[in-house]
Amino acid sequence: MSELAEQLATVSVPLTADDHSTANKFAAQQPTAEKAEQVYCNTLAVLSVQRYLQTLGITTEVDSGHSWHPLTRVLEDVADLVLPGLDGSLECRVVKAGDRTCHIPSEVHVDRLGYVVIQLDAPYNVAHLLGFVEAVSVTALPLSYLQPLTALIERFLDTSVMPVVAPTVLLRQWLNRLFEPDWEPPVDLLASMGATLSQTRLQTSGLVRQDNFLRYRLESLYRQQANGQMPLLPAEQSDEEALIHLMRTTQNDNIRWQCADLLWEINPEHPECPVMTAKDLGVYLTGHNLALAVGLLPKAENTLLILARIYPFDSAEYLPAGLKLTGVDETGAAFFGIAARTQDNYIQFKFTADVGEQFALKVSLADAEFVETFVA
Amino acid sequence: MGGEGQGRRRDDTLSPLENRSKKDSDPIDLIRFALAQSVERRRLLQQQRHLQAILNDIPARRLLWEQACLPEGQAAKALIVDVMKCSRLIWRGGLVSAQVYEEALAKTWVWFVDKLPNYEPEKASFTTWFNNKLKWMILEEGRQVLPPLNKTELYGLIAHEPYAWENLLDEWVNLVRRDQQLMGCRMQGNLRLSCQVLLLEILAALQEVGEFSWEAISRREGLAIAQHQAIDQTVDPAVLKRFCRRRCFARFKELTSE
Repeated sequence: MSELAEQLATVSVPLTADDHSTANKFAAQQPTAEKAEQVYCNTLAVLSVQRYLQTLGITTEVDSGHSWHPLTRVLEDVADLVLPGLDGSLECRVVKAGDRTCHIPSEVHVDRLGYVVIQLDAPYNVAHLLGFVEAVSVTALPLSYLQPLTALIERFLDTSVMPVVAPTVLLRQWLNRLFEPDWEPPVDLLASMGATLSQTRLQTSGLVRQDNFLRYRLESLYRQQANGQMPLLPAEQSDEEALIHLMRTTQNDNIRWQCADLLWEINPEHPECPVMTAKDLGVYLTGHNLALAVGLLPKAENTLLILARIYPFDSAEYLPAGLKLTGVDETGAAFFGIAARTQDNYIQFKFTADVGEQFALKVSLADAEFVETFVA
Repeated sequence: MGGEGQGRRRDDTLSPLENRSKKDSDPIDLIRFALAQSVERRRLLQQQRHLQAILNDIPARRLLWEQACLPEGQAAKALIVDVMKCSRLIWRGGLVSAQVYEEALAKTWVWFVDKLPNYEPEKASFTTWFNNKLKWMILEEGRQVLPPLNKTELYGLIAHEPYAWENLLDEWVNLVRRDQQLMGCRMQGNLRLSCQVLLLEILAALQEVGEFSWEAISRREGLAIAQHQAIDQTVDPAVLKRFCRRRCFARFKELTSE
């Protein structure tokens, strides 16, 4: 490997005074000067790998490793770092400048996800992460066997090939803003949905002026929540705060969705907005400008509130009459089915699904249909 | 409800492409159709099986790549990107934070479009080439976030202090002796061996010889048991180690951090 390539492959992690304080604390608890040096280096090695992984957002549990156990680190030569996400630990082994092999004691040859080799020299202000191997069978590992750190990074990525026979959409990932490429939120389609919603509300709210609309809707939602009684609208909150308050506190999923929809309409950047995306169905439904929107709201105990909505976009104002939206469960049985009447602006259905539950949404118009399978 | 095939993608109803003759599903033809007509293009992008077939087919990717490298190759370039995105073969973030992944992914796309002329269709699929770069972009993204190196800071190991170690050992021995929980926790099938006995043996070995091995502890225990029960009984060092790790050490850590 050329010098440049080596520099590219190495990650240099600055060490801090805190790292040294921890390393010296652990080293002071050792029987001999030689053992103290080993523990000192092992501790710095683990901390340097932890710091780099943290920059990638990888969760580590340094405290639960053997290297953080007061007695185990006396008894053994260990430098492990627990990675709960991969259900195992990495071993972080130190070499000095000029070393051609890395010492990996046989006691750590098992129970490891892999080995990161770190070059560490006085004055110990930086740790160079040199590379990674998945498994070792010798105590002196030639450094030429090291793979670049990207081999470690590959372990953290989801490299599984999604099945192509019956592709499913993983809804839970959407909550982390990870969408299948064909479900990336399309700005123009979602803007059309916003327009459809506000147009519908203008039609239904009649004489209410545009600027009073939020207040009007809010009062109506609070009235629903109070079951027709006098609504208890919080006095000292802004309309948006009052909306979020109701959204958080209501036990009624329907009211919660109405609040979420309204919040999405007035402030789509708000963190408590539902995750909302849509897909153009034109290609499936003989050229009709129709979109299927799917919205998600996380609910306690591994349940998702799901909204499925079909709406027209571009010049189309109404849904074609007879358009059907059906939800089909894992056994193939329909669990809901709704159809557009003449002059429907949109049709929608709200339901809940537990983690891992699979369902399909089917949109059909005359002979044409579109089916997508989802896993909650 | 629940008629035949409901809830499944039925190729005959969903995709006219599937119904064509075998020749028409040839990856080269799929590309030609997609480049010629936007409807065909949108259809193709919904067919992951075809997309993966295109990506795995050397003549198909050579055709796409050659088209994309032409001066008027924008449509082919866009098709390559869409085929890759819709194939679902691009590695997903997994445990890497969404922020780092998204940033690295965006940079990899910029790199991909820029370096497309250097791509070699015979060597790897577009997605393999892309994923390989994505790893490096993620590595780099993490590196960028690290704090700058302060070269003026000098650190080092503080000189070893034997008295500190002896005091610590005394402290540990006292903690272990006093703890009821360690006394009560015994090894199955070998009731003389409690966590307390074992930990005291380990600490004694460290105190006497400054060294330790599971084999030595096992021999000491074997002798003690033999004297106690007047029979010859040895304890497997691996069993001892496992028992200690699982039962004794967890409590020991609690004690020393209390």
